[in-house]
Amino acid sequence: MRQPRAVRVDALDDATLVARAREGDVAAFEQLVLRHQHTMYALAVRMLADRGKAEDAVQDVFLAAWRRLPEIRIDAAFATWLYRSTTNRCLNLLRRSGSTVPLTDPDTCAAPTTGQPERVAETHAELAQLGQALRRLTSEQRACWLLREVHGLPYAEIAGILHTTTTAVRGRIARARAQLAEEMQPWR
Amino acid sequence: MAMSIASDPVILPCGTDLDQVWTRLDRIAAETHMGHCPHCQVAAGSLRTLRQATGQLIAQPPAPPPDLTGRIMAVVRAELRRGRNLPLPTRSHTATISEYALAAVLRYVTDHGGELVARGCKIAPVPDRPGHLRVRLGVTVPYGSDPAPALARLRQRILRAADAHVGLTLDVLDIVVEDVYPTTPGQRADR
Repeated sequence: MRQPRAVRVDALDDATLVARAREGDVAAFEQLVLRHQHTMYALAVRMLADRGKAEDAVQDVFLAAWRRLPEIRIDAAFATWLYRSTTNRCLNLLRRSGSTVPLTDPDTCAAPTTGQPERVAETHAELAQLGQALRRLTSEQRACWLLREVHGLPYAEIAGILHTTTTAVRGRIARARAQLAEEMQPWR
Repeated sequence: MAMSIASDPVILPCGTDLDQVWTRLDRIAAETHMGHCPHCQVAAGSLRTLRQATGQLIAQPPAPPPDLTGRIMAVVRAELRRGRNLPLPTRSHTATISEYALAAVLRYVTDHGGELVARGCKIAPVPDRPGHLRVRLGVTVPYGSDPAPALARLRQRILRAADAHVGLTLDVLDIVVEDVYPTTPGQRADR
């Protein structure tokens, strides 16, 4: 008699978890939350520069996913769906609040804790400077830059998320990069 | 036009597109113009600082609060989905089982065979025949092996389980291979 071996839920791929969650499998959905919440939270914190608002945004994104799973086909591309949902939720929040994000939020970028003290201070200063510069971009530029340079998404996927063209995405990222570099170390 | 503004290149005083400097950042010394132009050199230094800081940003993502998953899942549990109620074959026809509860049983049977992994499981009652169902079960199979014997064993186990554990007869059981999964431990198929 074959010894039955249970399949670990954390070893399942997204498509399998989504298919199960669609049929009300709470453990499968919880695994999707555990797997993707860190990425979506990091994106939301840097988009909104506000940890509380980022938390609410990520919670709303996952609850919308749970509620809409029965009607939407996102089995293979769950991560893309989450990126789209998180990005657009953040952009809507920023539009509603007049596109402003707090200019100083030292909490947004975590400080490094190991290494030479001088280097640690230098890195911390660079990070703080980048955080500030990021908040001065337009929200669309910030979204494009973060999705490409921090999250590593392809241009075409970012264009799909923002309902625009790859040319427009490339342009926004180039301008964002120029502005960020200028603010970190002036070259003009 | 918003689009032409968005795609306007950023040009240095020497006429070089900043994007060119960015794409050649690591081999700029070998470039005929950029390797010697002071404007390009300053821009490259600035872009390197940005790249280094970006690396730090990637290396130190802000962590979500530890109770975020718990908060999300509390709402999810309060909004449980059960699917349709399927009639069980009783004399009074009053007993039912939820579609998703039955799907969970069939997925459990699949997962515990040690060979195949269940995905979605769609269940529909056969009209005018209480206790008779059509089932479509999606499965993934291990990469590189002939799934036919495992599928045949799974079919037998599911038919037995539906009858023995739930008291239902499956008129139609479609087992559909939807994907393969990697057999190396720790690998997931989605990434």
